[in-house]
Amino acid sequence: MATTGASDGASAAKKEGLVTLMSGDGEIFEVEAAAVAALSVTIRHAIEEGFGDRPIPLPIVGARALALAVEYCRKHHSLGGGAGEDSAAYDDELRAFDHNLAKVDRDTLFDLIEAANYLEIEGLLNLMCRTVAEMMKGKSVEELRRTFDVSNDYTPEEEEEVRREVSWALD
Amino acid sequence: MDGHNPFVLRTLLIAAGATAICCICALWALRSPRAKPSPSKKSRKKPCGCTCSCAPACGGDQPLPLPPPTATAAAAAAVPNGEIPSAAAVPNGEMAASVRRPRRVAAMGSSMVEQMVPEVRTHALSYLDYRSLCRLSMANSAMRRAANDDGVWKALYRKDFTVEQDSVTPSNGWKAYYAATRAIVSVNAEFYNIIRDSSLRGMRDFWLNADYVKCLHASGELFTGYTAVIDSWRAALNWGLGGGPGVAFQIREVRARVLSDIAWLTMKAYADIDSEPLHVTNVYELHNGRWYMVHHHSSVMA
Repeated sequence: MATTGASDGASAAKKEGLVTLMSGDGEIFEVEAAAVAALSVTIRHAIEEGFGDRPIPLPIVGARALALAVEYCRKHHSLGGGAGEDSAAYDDELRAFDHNLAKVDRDTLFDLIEAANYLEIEGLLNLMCRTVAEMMKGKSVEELRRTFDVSNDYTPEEEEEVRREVSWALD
Repeated sequence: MDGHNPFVLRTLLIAAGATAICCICALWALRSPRAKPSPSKKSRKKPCGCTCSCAPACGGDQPLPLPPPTATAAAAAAVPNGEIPSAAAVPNGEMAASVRRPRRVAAMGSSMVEQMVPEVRTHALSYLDYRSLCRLSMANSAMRRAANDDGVWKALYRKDFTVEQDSVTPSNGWKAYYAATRAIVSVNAEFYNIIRDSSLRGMRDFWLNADYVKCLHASGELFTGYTAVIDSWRAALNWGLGGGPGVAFQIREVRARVLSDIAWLTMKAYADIDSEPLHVTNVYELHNGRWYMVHHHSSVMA
């Protein structure tokens, strides 16, 4: 995986081993092709299809999420070789990195999920999905509404209906 | 014309079906994470006519955030490849924030959770336990739709109970099946509490009072009919099940299959850690909203 110039074959990167990504809001990122291609299936395919020498447009990924996703790829590529959490390479440093990354604010978290899904970075997607779940676990209904910015739109009848629907679990 | 009605109707149905399939395919294609990045995708973006300053007011019904190409995009492109000067980065950041805002405003009513790609949302909610999911559904109607997702409950069923029954399609969905399974598993656990407590009264209440109930003890004795079965338990609970009164069985590998008014469970029951477990089958029937034991079969396996 650690080959430089991961865009082997037809598409030679214009700079050795680099690939250009363009976020949906137009920011340009020059990143190590090997790192992002190892972690992101979407970018790997894009490079294979000859995008290596021109910017790869990532229309639904915002610059902030893309920056974080790239950072994730770099870190996981250099430390763990892109291996998953089950592998021995997933050590304390990577765990600490993931732990810190998961502390992003709520909006960024949802952007990162969207980005990880679009870029097909499985580890990042799992990490962020688990983080959302952690935000929901063990919370009261009121806390959930506050955390996710939703207001109670139930009529009293509906509220009663939902209460009955979940009584088996909460009583 | 009239004579062709059935045919016309069928054609219409086929056409409607095809349209529905097309719509589903189109949705899938739009949401597919595998869609390759391509310039054509980029060109799908439409500039927001209302410009970003009014975005919070006008972005409400935009379903997907397709960020409009902005002046910043041009500015970024104009920058020689590589580092983006900090001067450009600052307005860029502001732009990103204002572009993003409409979606967040839209999210107030419908929740970010609901806006997630369905498969991803299922994946995220699959990390939750059943209580958290149920509380989530009480937050508001959008959360309820998300929390009632059938795939989430199937995943939870597989995690909490068994990966068996993969081919089962519960008639009332996986959430109901999960709840029914949890209920019967807890009823079944009560059976072993009754044995542990040597409670004959508990045992009387536990069995269905019918002549067809059967109990096959690990001793190999078979008892048929409510009275005979309860008498056999009186003997067993008084004198113990081979190991003194009130055996606290540990039950493992509990597998439950629940239909509308019948359920059967298999399990291993350990009297203590060192001994061979009993292999048990328990069958229950639902009467007036309550599960009653109708069959118990316990075997010592060599």
